[in-house]
Amino acid sequence: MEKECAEQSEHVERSGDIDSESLTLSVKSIALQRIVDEVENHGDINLEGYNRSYHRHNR
Amino acid sequence: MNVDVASETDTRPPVSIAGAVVSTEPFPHAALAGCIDTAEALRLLAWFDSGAPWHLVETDFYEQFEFCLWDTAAEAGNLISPATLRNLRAEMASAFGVQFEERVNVVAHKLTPGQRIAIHNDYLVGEETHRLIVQLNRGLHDDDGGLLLTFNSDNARDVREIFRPVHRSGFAFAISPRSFHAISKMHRSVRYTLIFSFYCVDGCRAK
Repeated sequence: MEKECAEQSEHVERSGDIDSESLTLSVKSIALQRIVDEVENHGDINLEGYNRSYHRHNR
Repeated sequence: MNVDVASETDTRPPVSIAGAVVSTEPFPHAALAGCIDTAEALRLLAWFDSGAPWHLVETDFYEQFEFCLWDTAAEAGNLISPATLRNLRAEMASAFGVQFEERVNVVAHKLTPGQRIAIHNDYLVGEETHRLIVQLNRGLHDDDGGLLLTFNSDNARDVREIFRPVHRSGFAFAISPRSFHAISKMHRSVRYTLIFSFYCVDGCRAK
């Protein structure tokens, strides 16, 4: 457990060195069809009228 | 909200998008690494893992845990101080070439395995016009999920770019009818984000 936590912390610290180019993945490099299936809307949903902002607490 | 005097005099803001370069397609956006201070990020992770007041929100196209940082001002601390938000507002205004109202909305999101956010555009007339998403996690691999996708249209097959949820990285964008984006399903671990929302003064919303 301690080793796992240490590895996670090290990963967290290292990730600060990542440049902006490493932030992106090539569209061709991943299982794109699976990802598309995960984010596709099914059914009749009005995206412009039904939005995440409705659930925020604007101050 | 009480503001610690010391926080107003800090020279380095905890969150910054200084140096961000905005790309215009498929909608104005900028991605950058290291936009939140390392120590602040670790402090937030510890809080988010243990005592943050998460509540589950479920809709037709997304499911996530969230809470508003204005409700937790003591724990949020310098992250939502007037000085921090003033600086961030100025940086966002400079990057996107717009002017913002003073108000800023700050919420935290948590995605756990099985949760996803389907394609949407965040667009609502009269509401937020720009957002900054800041990633916080203990290290995610690509197959853990939680990837941020942008799209050329409202078709989920029309993927434009894929952004990793790299710890401390940021993704800023202008909200418009064409700002279609999504978050792929989480398969392992936990993905936290801070969401800063800004409001353009009248007339400068992206088309």
